[in-house]
Amino acid sequence: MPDTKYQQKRPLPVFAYNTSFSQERPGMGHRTRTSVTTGSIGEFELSENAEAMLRRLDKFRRIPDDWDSCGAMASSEDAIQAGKRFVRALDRLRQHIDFTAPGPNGEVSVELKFGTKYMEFVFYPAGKWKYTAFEDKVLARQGNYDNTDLPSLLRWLNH
Amino acid sequence: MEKGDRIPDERWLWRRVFLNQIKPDGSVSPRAFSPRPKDEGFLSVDVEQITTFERSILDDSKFSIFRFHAAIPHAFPDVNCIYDPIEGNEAHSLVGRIDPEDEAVAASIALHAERIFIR
Repeated sequence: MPDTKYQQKRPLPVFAYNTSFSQERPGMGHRTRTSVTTGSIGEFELSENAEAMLRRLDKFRRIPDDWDSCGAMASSEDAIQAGKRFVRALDRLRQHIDFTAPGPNGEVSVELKFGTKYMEFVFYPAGKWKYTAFEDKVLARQGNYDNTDLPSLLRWLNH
Repeated sequence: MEKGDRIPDERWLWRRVFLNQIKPDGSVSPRAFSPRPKDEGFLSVDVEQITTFERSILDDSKFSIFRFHAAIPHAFPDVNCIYDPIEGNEAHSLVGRIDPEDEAVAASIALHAERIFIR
């Protein structure tokens, strides 16, 4: 059932690049084809999904060093901040976020999936960002991640 | 098996996973299969046939166990599953060497892994 409250209160996102993609996400109430056009980023209301992921990322600050009893590093603040910025950017694009997780090298991850497609974005300390993309559990692509890659990666995921 | 032997594809390998890395649907994040800094690209696992749930999990209030076939990492060039018993853990084995720039090995293992429940 469409989330009418969400659709009424939340303006369409406006981004600094041109792209177009469609999304249908159970639980998100998104059943529209969104055209994203050149412009500036405006105020918007976060979805419940994004708020939950941001809260999870904030909680990673409480995880101490050696949390796995085998030398894992605590999540770094810059990785958490990068992950939070990414969650907000995805939410502006009305992209449902599947999960966020801490990693053993101070990194945090943000995971997306759609049907048989899966993507993991990994934010390491000191600005090293990476992604992998799988379809039917088979590697489709991976590489360093840059924000300018987001439109094409989401197009791949959602089609 | 002798120390240093390549573990056959069909063997199950167990990995201890932090509860924060398990998704609400019961699947697991690839971060659970990413080597730590001190591991130098090698992921510690236990061979299922040699270990027990209690020995592998250490603390079930913090961890769970996931398993995967050795064939999954073996699908990647230069990644091997090697039997590496250590003092106090005869089931200990290593998966590697995983290139730190290659995130796909961890993700592939996670996508194929299944959770172990023993009570």
